[in-house]
Amino acid sequence: MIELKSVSKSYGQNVVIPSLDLKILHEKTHCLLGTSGSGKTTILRLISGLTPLNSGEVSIQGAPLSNLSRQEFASKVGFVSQDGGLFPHMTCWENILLPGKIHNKDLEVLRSRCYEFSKMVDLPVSLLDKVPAQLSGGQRQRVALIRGLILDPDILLLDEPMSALDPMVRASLQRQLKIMFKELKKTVLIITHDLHEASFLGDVIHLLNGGRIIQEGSFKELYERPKEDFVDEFLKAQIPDELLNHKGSQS
Amino acid sequence: MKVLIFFILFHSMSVFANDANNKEPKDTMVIGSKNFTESYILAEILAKIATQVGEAKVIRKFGMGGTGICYQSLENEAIDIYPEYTGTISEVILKKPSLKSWNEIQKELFKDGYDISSEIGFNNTYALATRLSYATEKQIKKISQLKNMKSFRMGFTHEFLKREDGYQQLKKHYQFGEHDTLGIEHSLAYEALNSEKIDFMEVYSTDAKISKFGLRVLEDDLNFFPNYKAILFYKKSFSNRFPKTYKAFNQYLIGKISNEQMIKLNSLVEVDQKSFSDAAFAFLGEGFSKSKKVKNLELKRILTLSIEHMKLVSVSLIFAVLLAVPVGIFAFHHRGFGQVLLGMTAIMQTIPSLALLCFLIPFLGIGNPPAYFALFLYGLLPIARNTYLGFSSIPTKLIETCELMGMSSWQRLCYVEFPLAFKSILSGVQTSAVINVGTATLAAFIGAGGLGTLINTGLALNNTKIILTGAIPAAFLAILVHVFFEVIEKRNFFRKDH
Repeated sequence: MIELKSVSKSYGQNVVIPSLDLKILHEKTHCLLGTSGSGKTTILRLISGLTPLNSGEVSIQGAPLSNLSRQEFASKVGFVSQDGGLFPHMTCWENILLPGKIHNKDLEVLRSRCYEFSKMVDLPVSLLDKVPAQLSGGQRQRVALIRGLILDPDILLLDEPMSALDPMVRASLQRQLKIMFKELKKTVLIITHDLHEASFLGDVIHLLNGGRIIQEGSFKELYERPKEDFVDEFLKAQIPDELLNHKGSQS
Repeated sequence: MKVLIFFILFHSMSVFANDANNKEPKDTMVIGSKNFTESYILAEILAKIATQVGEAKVIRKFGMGGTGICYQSLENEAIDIYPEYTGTISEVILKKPSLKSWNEIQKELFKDGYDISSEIGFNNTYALATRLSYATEKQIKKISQLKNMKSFRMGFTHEFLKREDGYQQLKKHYQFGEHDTLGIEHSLAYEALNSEKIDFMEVYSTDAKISKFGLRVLEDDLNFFPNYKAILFYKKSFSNRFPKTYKAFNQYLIGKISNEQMIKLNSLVEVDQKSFSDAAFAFLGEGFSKSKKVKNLELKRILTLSIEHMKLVSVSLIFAVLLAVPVGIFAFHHRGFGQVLLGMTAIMQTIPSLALLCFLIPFLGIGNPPAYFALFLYGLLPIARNTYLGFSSIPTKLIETCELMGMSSWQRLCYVEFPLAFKSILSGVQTSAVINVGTATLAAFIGAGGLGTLINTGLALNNTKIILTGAIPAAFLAILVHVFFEVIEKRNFFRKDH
């Protein structure tokens, strides 16, 4: 679905991504997990074409990224950023329908699609007449998500979509997302530093450090068979002690 | 054969021209004046004579802001004639102060294609004046008598105290010793002299206040002060273009106004609050047919001038917006060259308004075109700068979102950038508009009308009431413009988050 082949990126002397191979599988949810500075955001920018790569190749559904126009890319890939990236001067409705206007879609179809999505993420449609600033953080992210999906793209990229939300809101949104992604059969790539989020949502987790993928697999694989000490350290840092003890007693 | 055709063509054309001439004068004569009472009165006299002769349609461009602008206008044929002084011509225009006599000056001007009339009669130079009572008591008539007086107090403007040809030279020239001197503002000096705080002050020798305060002007018997003989200043061609008018000027005006008469005419306006037209009639006498006097209600005049004023501001503003907004956007997308452009608009801003108007006269003449253009230039910077700032303040995240949505740069401009920058752009337009309401008052200096006309006249007459009839509506317009833009901002059409 998305494939990166020996992709590298450096800013001057500073090598951010030495050489990276990555495959995002069809209709699976992948999580790029790592601390800040691990290169996860750069990878997302390389995939979305916001940052040019130094060497290697990115392909989306078999087509090289460099061959895709912005228009074509946008119809294949939806995007949700950390703070939603909603336009502050438009109502939520206008925000959600804007991609449709840009791509000359039938707005009625998009509107009914929006109703459907709103139900899935439990967002009252009446809120959509408001501007983003009048909504809570969780509501804003839901609007951003609906906007990202409104053109029905096969792929969805999410850049730390829940890092700014409080734990309760985050938990309910995570549950809704998991159901939604499976129901809509989307190929999803989520950037996150939150182990819990990655383990809950991700079919595949790619643990990153220093621009390299240290280990990839399910949470269970990472947890039970860490390839390097770093994996163990990273997991320990975010797992409550009692669980760790539990692991200790198992082995 | 060719000659014959040419002759017929020429002949028929001249017949046609003569036909037109019967209805209306074929030529127009633009009469200028500077922005002080005496110049207004003399120009009004010229206008009345020229109208009476009827050789050309008379257009008045009075109250222009200084010698530079008048001379520029004459050179570029934006005006045809205006009253000037010999001293001003040698010092300011020819920049040859050594030229003193009328003959020398006329000869020098003639080389450059200009000409001056013979002297109108009076000499409006610096002079020393004292109270009549004091003069009688001490029996003083000439400046040379000061040398033998024991003690007296003098009040001079700061300029006169410092000037090369001012007080220090005067003291040397007439050899009077050290006396109390006071640096004082000119209009206050009259009061000081009247209330016996000082005994002598410098005056302009045809100043209306000389008659108002009953002063004695001392004779400059050792010829210290330069001559500022009033004359008419025009291009050589003037006498050929308007032979009858030229003759009439010589007949009715040249050599006809003495210093005393000029003081009287000035004081008719400044002290007795008569109009320039009344003063002109007072000089010309009843022989001149008074045109039907249109009683112009003051309020109506203020309204007309206000409309003129707003036209100057709004038309120039529209063009400024049309250029400055794209410049600001361009500057945002091309930072390097953009900064150069913004720098250029900033330089425009530093040019003093009168100087800018003066520079523009060779290209655009006087009246509306240079005024519109100058206001347009002054309007550019705040708009371009605020457009640039408005675009710069849009978060990069949002711009990237546009890109990920697949927007073209035109769609991004319409849907996102312009609406988000609109508030900033609008406040730039507001700044330009309010500033230009003020700057437009200067347009009167080059005959473009507006409320500046009243301020200008008021300044010339030292009449606060007239100044205020121009200044208050101008201030009111500025507030109105401010409120207008505030309202637009409140009802920001492009934003829902208000």
